Amino acid sequence: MDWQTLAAAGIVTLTLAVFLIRMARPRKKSGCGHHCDCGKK
Amino acid sequence: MQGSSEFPPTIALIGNPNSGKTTVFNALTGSNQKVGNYSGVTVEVKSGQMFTPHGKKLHVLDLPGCYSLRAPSLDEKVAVDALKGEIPGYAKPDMVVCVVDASNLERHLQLALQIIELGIPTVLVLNMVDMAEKSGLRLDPAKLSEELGVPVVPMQANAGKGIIELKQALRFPFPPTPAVAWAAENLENSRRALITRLCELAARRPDAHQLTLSDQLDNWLLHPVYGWIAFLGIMFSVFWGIFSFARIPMGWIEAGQGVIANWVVAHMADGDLRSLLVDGVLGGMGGVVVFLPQIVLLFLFIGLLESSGYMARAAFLMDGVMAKAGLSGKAFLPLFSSYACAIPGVLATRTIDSAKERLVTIFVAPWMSCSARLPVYFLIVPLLLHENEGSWKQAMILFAIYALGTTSAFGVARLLRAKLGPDTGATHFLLELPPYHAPQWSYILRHVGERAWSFVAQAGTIILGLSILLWALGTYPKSGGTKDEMLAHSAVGRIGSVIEPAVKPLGFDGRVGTAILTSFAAREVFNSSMAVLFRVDEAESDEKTRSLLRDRLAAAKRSDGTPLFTPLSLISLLVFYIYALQCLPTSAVVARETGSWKWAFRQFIFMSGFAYIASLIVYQGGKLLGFS
Repeated sequence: MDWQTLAAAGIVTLTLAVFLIRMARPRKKSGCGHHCDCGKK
Repeated sequence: MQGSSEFPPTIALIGNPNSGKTTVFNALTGSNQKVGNYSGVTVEVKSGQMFTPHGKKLHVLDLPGCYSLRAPSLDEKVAVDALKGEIPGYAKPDMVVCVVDASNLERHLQLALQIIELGIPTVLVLNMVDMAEKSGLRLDPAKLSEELGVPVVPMQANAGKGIIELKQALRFPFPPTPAVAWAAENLENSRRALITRLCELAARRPDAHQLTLSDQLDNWLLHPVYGWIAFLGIMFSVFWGIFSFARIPMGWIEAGQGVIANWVVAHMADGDLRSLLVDGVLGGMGGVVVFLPQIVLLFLFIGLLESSGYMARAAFLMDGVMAKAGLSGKAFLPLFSSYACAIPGVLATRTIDSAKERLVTIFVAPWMSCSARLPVYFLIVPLLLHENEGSWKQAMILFAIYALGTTSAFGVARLLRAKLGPDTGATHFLLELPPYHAPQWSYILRHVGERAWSFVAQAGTIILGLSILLWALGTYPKSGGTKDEMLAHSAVGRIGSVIEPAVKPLGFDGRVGTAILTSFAAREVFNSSMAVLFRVDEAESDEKTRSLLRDRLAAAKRSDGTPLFTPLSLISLLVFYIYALQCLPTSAVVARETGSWKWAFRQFIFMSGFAYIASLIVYQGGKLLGFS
């Protein structure tokens, strides 16, 4: 396995982990997720 | 209690809609809350901090606009609850700053008197004195202060004039509670009599019958015929401007992407990491970021319309049209806001008095084509036209897309409104028509900047992540053979083959079906998915043309060798994206605003089902009629 394959697989694994952690983490605020103006105070 | 060292005293800003509370709030706290020259910009309590000239910290609340303290709509109830200290997390105000439009004192003083009657120390801000004086009013703040028994501060908040005087008026200790001299048996009548007297004494109008420039403009812009011509002309100009002016910066972004991609290809050996960087990261993010100029222009134009005062006129014109849909003019502004994003649109429905009308407006708001759909439209629309065709044709198609979404929303609103039945109580539509004024460029540009940054930040986080994952799904598990065979063997190829039977009747293949599936969380992800999924065709594309992705799509073939994207399948795809509700944050806000997930779920099922059936009818109907 060459270094590019290893690096790409590492980046994909890291990205997947970040997504899973973010999904599992309880949200502090319900609602708009800061997509638009509504999340700002 | 006027605060303590731990809890600073609280000041509440209150006033009629469009009196400039948020501008005063921003000037006091240094915040950058959204402002607009129309009512209903603030629908929630916003808070900030400021310091008096003596260094005393104050907590400032910006309350939604209200016409009286007995108002029925949700946003106005929020303001009243905040004044009573009944909103969790916010202290009862120690002082109220009542902001009134100096040129509309007769109407705005109604609320001011009610506030003073509450017995809370009050400062009256006469905002927009420049506009009042231009209209011929002769203001006497000292006389007004003497009559009301509260400090009166003349201001021009958008230019920062009067802020120092207001801060001086807020110094510690606060002025005592004013004595209410006008309270009589019939409070309404005594208030009215007092307001008439105050206006005679402190807001004299020597040339009361002279038409202002705003009045003269309104004679044309609110005219039953010319007003509509102007309205349609302005709306079409916005769409034309978005396509025309964005071309140059879009070219720069595309050129920049090309330079980076070429550099990576020249400096890296062929391999998975290079493929990930070029096809996954640059292809996926580039497919979205390239549309940044158009998003910026959309928000710039909306900001200009809001800030100049035209938006309120548009609401006035649309009142009759809204009535045909079973709604009132109050629903126009939330629906128009939804062109930018459905989330502030849904929040803005709080200004609607009728609960049923509010629910209907929330239900149809996502059909007002939001800015997240624009990248998808901008990807598909040029494929329907030849390269050398003018931007006015693209603008016409975009205009038609918006018209289709809007008319469909009105049709469904009418049906749903009829199903829900009439209101139990009477509701009223009261609209401020503020004077026209020059746009507040600093606010508009800051707001546009925030939106642009938010778009780029999203592209740099969620879309980047999804692009990487999609690249992985399109690459693994690996196999030998041609690129087509490798893709068919990959996870995406397998998902696509499962989805294909469901999307084939709409004119799509498994790859488009997969891209649609990935965009249910956020619709702009469609472009990234398409860029990643169609990378196999890169070698066949014409390098000289402007857009690699569009070329790849134009060259894409079905398994039987026929072109995948025909005019009919493209229109079918456009129709799907006009109607599908592909935005999780919107569903979350709908659930919050309606009080349960029931309506959000119904809305999602209805809109997704409608999108599928409409797309099916377009494609199959078109084929039956002999189109391809």
